[in-house]
Amino acid sequence: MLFTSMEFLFLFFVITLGVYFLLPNLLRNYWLFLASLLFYAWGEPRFVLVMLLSIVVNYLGALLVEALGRGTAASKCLLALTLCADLSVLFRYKYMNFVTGTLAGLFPNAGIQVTEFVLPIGISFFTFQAMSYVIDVYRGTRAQKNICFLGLYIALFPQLIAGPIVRYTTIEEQITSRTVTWEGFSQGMLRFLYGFNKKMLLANILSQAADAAFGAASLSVAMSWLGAVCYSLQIFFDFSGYSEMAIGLGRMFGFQFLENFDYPYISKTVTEFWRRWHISLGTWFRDYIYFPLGGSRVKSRLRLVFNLSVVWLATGVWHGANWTFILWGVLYGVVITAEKLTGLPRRVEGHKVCAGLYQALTLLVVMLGWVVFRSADLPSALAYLRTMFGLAGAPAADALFRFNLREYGVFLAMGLLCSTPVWAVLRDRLSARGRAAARACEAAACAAQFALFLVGVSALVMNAHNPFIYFNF
Amino acid sequence: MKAKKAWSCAQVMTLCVLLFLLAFLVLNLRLIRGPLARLVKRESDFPQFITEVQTAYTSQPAWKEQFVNLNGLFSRLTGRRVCNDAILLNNGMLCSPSPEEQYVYWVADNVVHFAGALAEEGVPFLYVQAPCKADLEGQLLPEGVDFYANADADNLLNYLTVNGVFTMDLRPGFSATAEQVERNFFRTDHHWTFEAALRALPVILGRMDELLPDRTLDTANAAFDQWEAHTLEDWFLGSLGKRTGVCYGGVDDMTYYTPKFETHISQAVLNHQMFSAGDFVQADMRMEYAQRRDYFNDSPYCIYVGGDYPLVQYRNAGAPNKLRLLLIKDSFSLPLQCYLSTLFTEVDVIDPRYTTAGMGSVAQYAALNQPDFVVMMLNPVGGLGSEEYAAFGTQMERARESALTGARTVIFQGDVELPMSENAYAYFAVDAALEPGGRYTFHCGRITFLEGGAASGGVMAALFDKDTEAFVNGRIFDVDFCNGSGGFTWRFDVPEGEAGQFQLLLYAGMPGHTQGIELTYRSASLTLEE
Repeated sequence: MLFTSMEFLFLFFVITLGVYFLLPNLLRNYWLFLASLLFYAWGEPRFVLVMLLSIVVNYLGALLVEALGRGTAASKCLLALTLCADLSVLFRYKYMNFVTGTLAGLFPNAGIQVTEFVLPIGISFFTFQAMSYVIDVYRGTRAQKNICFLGLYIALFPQLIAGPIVRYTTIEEQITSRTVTWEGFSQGMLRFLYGFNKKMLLANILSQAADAAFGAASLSVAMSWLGAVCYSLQIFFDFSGYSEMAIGLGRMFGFQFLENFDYPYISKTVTEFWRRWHISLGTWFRDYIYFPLGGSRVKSRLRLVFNLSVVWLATGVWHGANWTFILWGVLYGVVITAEKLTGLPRRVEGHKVCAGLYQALTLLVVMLGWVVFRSADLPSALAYLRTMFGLAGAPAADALFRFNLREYGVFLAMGLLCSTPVWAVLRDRLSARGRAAARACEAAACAAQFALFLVGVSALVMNAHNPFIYFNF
Repeated sequence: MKAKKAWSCAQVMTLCVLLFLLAFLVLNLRLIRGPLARLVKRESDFPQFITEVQTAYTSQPAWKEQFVNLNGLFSRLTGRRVCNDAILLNNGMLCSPSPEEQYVYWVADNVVHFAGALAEEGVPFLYVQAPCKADLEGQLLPEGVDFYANADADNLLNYLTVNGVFTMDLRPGFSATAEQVERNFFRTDHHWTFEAALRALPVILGRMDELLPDRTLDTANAAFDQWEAHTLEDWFLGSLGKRTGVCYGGVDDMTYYTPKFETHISQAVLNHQMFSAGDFVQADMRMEYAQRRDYFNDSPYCIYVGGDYPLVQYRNAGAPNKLRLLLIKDSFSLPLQCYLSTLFTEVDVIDPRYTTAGMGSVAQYAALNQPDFVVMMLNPVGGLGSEEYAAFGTQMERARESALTGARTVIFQGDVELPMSENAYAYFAVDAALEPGGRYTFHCGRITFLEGGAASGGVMAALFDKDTEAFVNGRIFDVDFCNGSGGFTWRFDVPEGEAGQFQLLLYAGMPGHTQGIELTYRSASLTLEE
C-alpha cells in the first residue's frame, strides 16, 4: 500500500489511528504490528511470509548471538549465518533475475535458466533494518525478547517500504515507552502533509516532463536538460516526500525517526551531497561497512580507495539490479574518492568564485548521475548524455521542449524553490518580527498545506499519474 | 486559575484533516461493504478484495465531482494544457489525445475485403470519415503536443481509395479550420454537435445518391430547415469535461433537433430489450436528458438513441426512401442514425465494439439481412487502429455460399395466429428445437392485422436464450413495407450451446407494445440450412 493512495488515506490510516488511540497502552504495539502486516499484505499478500521469516530468523539469531556472548567465535559464526540468511533472501528476490540474465547472455549455450522472481516491496529497507539489529546486538545492544516488538521494529508501516532505514537503537526505548502529545501529533500531521504535497504536486507532475524526455524518440539539447532537471527534482521530492510522510506518521504514533534529507541540492561538494541525501542509508553503510573496513583512518591511500570502492559499489548495487545502478554507484565512488584524495573541496572553500563554480560542478555531477540512474540501460544513458552535451547532432530546442517548459514551468520553479531552504529562511525572518508575524506565518503555511492536500487528494481521485521510484528498492 | 493555552495553527489544521478523513471514511464505507461481504462469504479472496476496494475507491468515491472540479481548477490556475487525458485547445475547447500513430491497415484491409464482398452482391458501400476535433490546419493544438488522429484518418482513406472503396471525408467541410471546429463540436465533449451531424446528413446522402445510379434519393427531409432546434443552456458537461471539471473547460449548451415533418418510427435495441414506437421523439429520443441537468452523472449526448448498443433496428414505413440501410458506426453516429431513420424504411445500426459472439460478424449480418446500402462512419480518434472495428470480412462469402447452395429442411410451416391480449409482450413460441450452431431462415408471406394494426410500429421475430433469459438476435419488420414487397425473410445463426436452449419467438407487434393487437403471420416457415 502506498501512502499516496485512497485506500491508505481514507481507510487504513483512519482505522489504524482510531483503534490505536482507543486501545490501552499495553495493546498498542500489538495493534500496530498487526496493522503493519496488513499494510504490507495489501500489495502482495504472499510476501508477508518473507517478512515474517526475516523477523523470526533475526529474532532467533539475535537472541543466540546475545546468549553466546559478544566477540566469541560462536557468536561471530552465528552473526555471519544470520546475515547470510538475510542477504540470501535479498539476493534471491532482488538480484537473481539480473545475475541469471547476465550469465545467460554471456553464456548462451550453457542452458542457464533466467529466473523471474517478483520483487517484494521494500525488501532492501526491511532487510537492512533487520541486519543492523543483529549487528547491534552483536556489538552490545540488548536483544529484544518480545518477537512482536522486534516485528514492530522491522515491519512498522510508516518506514516499511521506503525508509528511512531506522536503527534499532534509535527506537529501542520508544517501542516500550513513548508518549503522544497533541502538539507532537499535530506536528506529525503537518509533516505528513508536507511530504504528501511534495510527492503528489511536485514529484508526480514533474515526472511527466521527465518521462517525456527519457521516453522521447528524438530529443533536443534543451529538452534533454529539462528532462534531467525535472528528474532530479522528481526523485528528490518523491523520496524525501515519502520520508517526510514516514517521519510524520511515526510522530503521530509517538516515534521519533531521524531525518533522511537535508536540502541535498544546496551541497557544496559531492561528499556533502551524500551527507544530505538519503542520510539513513549513508550512515548505515558508514557504520556497518565503511568503519568496520577502517574508514578513512587507514594508513595507505590504496586501502582508502578500496574502502570507498566497496561502499559505493554496495550503494549502487543496493539501489537495484541493473548495470546503470552499478555504474551510478561507481561514478560516485570515483568522484568522492577524488575529493578525498585531492582535498579539492577544502582548497576552494576560501574563494567565493571557485567555491561557487565547484558547487555548480557538484550539482552537475549529481544531475548526470541521475541521468544514468534513470536510463533503462547503459547505451540509453550514453545516448542521453551525448544529446545533453550536443554530441548527438540534436537541435538546440524543439516544440517538445517549449511545450514541457510551458506545461510544467510553474512546477519547475516551485520545485527549484522548495529544494532550497528559502521558505524556511523566509519563515524564520518573518517570525523574528514578532509573535503575531510568526503566528500569521504559521497560519498561512498550515492553510496552504491543507489546501494543497485537498488538491493532492483530487489527483488521487482522478487516478492521476502516481509513480513511486523508491518503491522498487 | 490556570489559563487555557490556545491551540496552534498546526493543531487546528490537524483537527480539520482528521475530520475530513473521518467524514470521507464514513461516507465511503458503502464502497467496502460489498467487497467485504464477498470476502467474508468466501466468494472472493484477499487479493480480489483489495482490487475491488481499490477500484471502488477510485471510481466512485464521495465528493468525486467536487474533487474533479478542484483538480481542473488547479490545472487551470497552473497553466496546464493537458489535464487528466484532455488537451485544452487554443480556443478553450477540450480534445481527446491521440499521442501515437495507430496501425490502421488492419481495419482498412478488412473494410476493403468487406466492401468487395458487398460489391459482388451489388450492394454499394461508403466509408465516411467523421470530422476530428483537432483542425486540419493545426491551429488549435498547443505546440509540442503529438496528435496523430488526422494522419491516421488520411492513411485509412488513402488505403481505401487505392483499393477501390468509395469514401468521403467530412473533415474538410467540418473540421478544416479552427472556426469550423468551434462551430461543429461541443466544447467539453469529443463528439460533434447535433447541428453538425444534421448539416452532414445531406452531404452524406448526396454521396450515397451518386453511388445509386438508378435511384434518386429523396433528401427533402434532410434539409436543415425541416428540423426544429431546441436549445438548453449550460446543460452539458461532455466526456472530457467530466474528467476536468467545470472550471477547466466550462460547460456546453445543448441544441437538439426534432423533425418538423410527421414521422412514425419503430426502434428496437434488441440486446437491451428496449423497444419504442411512435413519432421521432417517442421512438428515437431519450427526453429525460432534456429534463434534468446532471453534469457528472448524465450524458446528454445520448439524448439520441440512449447510448451505444451492438445492434439497433429502425423501421419507418412512411419513409421517403424504400431502402434498407446498414450503418456500421461508433458514437459519432448516434444523432446521425436517428436522422437517417426518418429517411429510410429500414435502418440497421451495428456498433462492432459491442457485438457479442452470438450475433455473428458484421459480414454475416449483412449477408443474412441483405441491405440495399452499407455505410460505415468512424471518428478518427481511437478507433481506426482498433481490431474491434475489423470484426467483419471473412464470413460473408461462406454465408452467401450456404444461402445459394445449402440444402434446406423445413422444420415448421403454417399460419401463426396471435389472439388479442392485454399482455404487452404477447408472442408465439415456435415449437421447434433449434439446433445450436445451425443456420435458419424464417419467412413470412404476409402479416394480417385483425385488430390494432395502426398502433403497431412493426412486428418482431426474436431468438431467445432460455438459459440467460435474454434475446440473442432478432429483427423487426415494418408490416406495410414487407407486405408490399412479398413478405419478409430473416436468416439467422443459432449460437453454440445446449440443445433446446434457444427458441424462436414471434411477437404480436413490437415487444412492450402488443396490447390490443390481434394478428396472423400468414405462410410462416422456418427452415434449417444444411
